[in-house]
Amino acid sequence: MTDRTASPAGSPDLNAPQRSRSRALRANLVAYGFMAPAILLSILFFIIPAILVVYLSMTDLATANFTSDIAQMNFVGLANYVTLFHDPFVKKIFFNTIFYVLTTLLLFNTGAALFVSLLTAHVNRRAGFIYRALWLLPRITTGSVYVLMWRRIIAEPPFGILNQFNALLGQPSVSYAAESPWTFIILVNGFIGLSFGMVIFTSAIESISKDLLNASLVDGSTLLQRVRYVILPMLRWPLLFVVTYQTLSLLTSFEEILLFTNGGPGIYQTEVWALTAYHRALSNYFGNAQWGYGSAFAVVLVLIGVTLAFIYMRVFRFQELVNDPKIEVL
Amino acid sequence: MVTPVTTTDAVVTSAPNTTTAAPSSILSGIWRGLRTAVLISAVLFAGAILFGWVIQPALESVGVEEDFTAMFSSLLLGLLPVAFYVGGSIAARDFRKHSLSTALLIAWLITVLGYGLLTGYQYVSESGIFRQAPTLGFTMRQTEAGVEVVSVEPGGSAEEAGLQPGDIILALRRDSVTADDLQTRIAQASADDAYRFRITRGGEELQLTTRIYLVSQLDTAALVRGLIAALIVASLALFVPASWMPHILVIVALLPLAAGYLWLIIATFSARTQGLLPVDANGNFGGLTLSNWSFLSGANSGGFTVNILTVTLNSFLIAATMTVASLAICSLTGYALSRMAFPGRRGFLSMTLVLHGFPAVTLFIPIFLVLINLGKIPVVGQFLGYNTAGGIALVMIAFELPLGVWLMKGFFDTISWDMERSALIDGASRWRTFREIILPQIRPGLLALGIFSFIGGWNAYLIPATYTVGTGLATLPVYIRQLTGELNPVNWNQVAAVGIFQLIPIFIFFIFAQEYLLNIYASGTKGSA
Repeated sequence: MTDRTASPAGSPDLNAPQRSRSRALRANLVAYGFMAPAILLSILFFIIPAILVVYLSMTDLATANFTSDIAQMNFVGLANYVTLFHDPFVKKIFFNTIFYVLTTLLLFNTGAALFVSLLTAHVNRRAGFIYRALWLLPRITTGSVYVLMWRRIIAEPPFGILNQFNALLGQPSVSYAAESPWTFIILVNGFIGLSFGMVIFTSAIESISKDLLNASLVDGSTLLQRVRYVILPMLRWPLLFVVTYQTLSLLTSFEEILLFTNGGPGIYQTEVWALTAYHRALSNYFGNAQWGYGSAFAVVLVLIGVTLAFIYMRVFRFQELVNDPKIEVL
Repeated sequence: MVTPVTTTDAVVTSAPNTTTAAPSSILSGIWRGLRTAVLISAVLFAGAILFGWVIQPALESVGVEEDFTAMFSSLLLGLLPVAFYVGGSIAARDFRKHSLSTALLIAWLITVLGYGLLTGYQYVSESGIFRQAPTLGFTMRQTEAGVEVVSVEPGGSAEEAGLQPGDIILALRRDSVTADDLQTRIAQASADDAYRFRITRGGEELQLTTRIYLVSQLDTAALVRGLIAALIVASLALFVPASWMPHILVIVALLPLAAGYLWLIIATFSARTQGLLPVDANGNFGGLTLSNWSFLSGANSGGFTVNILTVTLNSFLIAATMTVASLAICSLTGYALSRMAFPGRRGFLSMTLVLHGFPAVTLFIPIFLVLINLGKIPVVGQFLGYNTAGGIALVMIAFELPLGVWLMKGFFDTISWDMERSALIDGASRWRTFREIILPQIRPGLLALGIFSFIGGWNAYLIPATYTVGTGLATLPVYIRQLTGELNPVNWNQVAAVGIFQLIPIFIFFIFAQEYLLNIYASGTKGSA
């Protein structure tokens, strides 16, 4: 194999090792060229801020002594972490988070998403598009309007839509916001989260070769057999990706909970870790946002997320998927 | 050849190939139907047990006050009988071609059996139709004067207390009541609760105390109605074409959203709403108005005079820039990660995924510090620093990176590399191969990422609101937040109108994107594996 673009035509191959080394170097340079924008952005907006947030968590930076000059911040060591672990509600918030992430992830972000994409892939194509467009609505509606809509769905009579149906059916009215806040938080987030998996799964199902499906049809497979033996194996990568990615998304997402219950109605009843970080760092009731203390919460969350990411990579054997670039140096 | 299937697969599905041989007998049909019905019910039951009896106590023991598991568990239990009827009927579908009456017989027999089991269980546990309901032993109706006692149950507590037909109930203790209200209270009361009524009888006022007691409200009509409903469900499951099933399931699942968005649309055209009904100031049906849409003409809305065109254009520019930039950056990166071997490749892949675990909101201060310092760089800083469109775009693209890079890598991985290799062997450069051979093959992937990027940019609130000062760069979401600010009384219906306005362009964008996909799939991807 000759690399015509690279080597001068007709030059004899006298010092092969040196040439291949320079060629490898050039291939690496090409690769880094492709990667350059992403690397630059990651360093600027992830790596540097990540280091900064760890540093911030060891300062007592707050509204009162805010400064954008790193050198002037008060270094307090691990004091914020000591405060954090002595917080009486930390355990509850921690388990709230685990409950919220697991339930939403399994039932909606992957379970229902897979179900909907399988269903919409098996109906007439145009109908499938319409359904998917409708399922995408929660994601494209801006958060405050979407949450407003759900508030109206569960509101007390005479405003609530569910209670209007209850009245039509002769059932007593229910104050859903007080009685089942978690159910609706999971629904509110699940309906948004579903569309992510749906779009990715659908793209993957659509890109399964039609020959493969036709072959299995000719062989007389049933629908469930096709799903089980043809479609699901092809969905391995999207599934792992959605599970991993959405776990981390759910861990760090709080906007809908903030708008919907803001951690209430009971004491920290629906508070999750990311929301606590936000409350501490950005919206303290006493008007003194504790950036440093909030950053400590963020760092703990990051540690949980990173641990989970590594566990996922190990369990799902990401290394195998990551291992084999299709084309080595030519 | 399809891998051999397990028996459950063969039973659960109603594939045409299993019907070719005529079913042997009704008995075997019933047996098969029952097996399917029991299997499906068992799965639901196991789910209900898992959530209601395993997960819930576990969560309770660690202090989580949640209501979801109980709700979900009872939903599964409620669906169990329906699943039983449907499961049995679906198994009976195989008999449909052979003999319609046999199929119907099997489906109905299984359904009656299931209904019998359900009723038997309810009888034993005194639940459902055999539930003992709280009552006061009289019937009532609402009249002008108050709640009129229509009839009194002999031997009930109302009769013992001396209540007579024709009495008008004025108040419960001291609070005036309506018939609806009273019935709701009674339904929620428990045995021995005391109710003291103030009544008038022939112009004379009396006070009577009655006590709640429980009666079995066995209603044979309801029992028969339930059976008929079950049989209808079973017949539907038997006769509704299999191709309708996905439609039915998706539409049922969409119902909550349908109700919500219906309300959103109605609300934008009305002064106020009750449930899904537009009402005027007196609570009567009506009150339709266009005033919620006055923001379109730039009218003063909620204390903010905003040029809606500028705001929309800002949103669009940010979203479009973000989409183009993240598609370019992520496809380049994804290609390199999928196709090239270079030091640091695996590290970068793991890192991007881990980075996604960084909560955006808590990186805000560090990012603010970074942007301030970027702004100090000569020339470039003017476009990329704090309070510039470029700075916002950069931050948002960065947050889109983990998704984009992994998504693109995944799509590149699925493409066969034969064409690419031959292009490279023929001397095309990596760049040319990427642009002319590979990129056209991952259009579905580009589109999927494009949709997410555009939505991300279009809906972005936190980043534009955090890193800009003043309204020069306000986007639609920022505008909506201003409308819902705490300083003014919020006109929620106007918020809904702006929300719908914001929704429309992106919805259209999505529909066009789908159309584009349709064309790709219809014509087939040129040369794809």
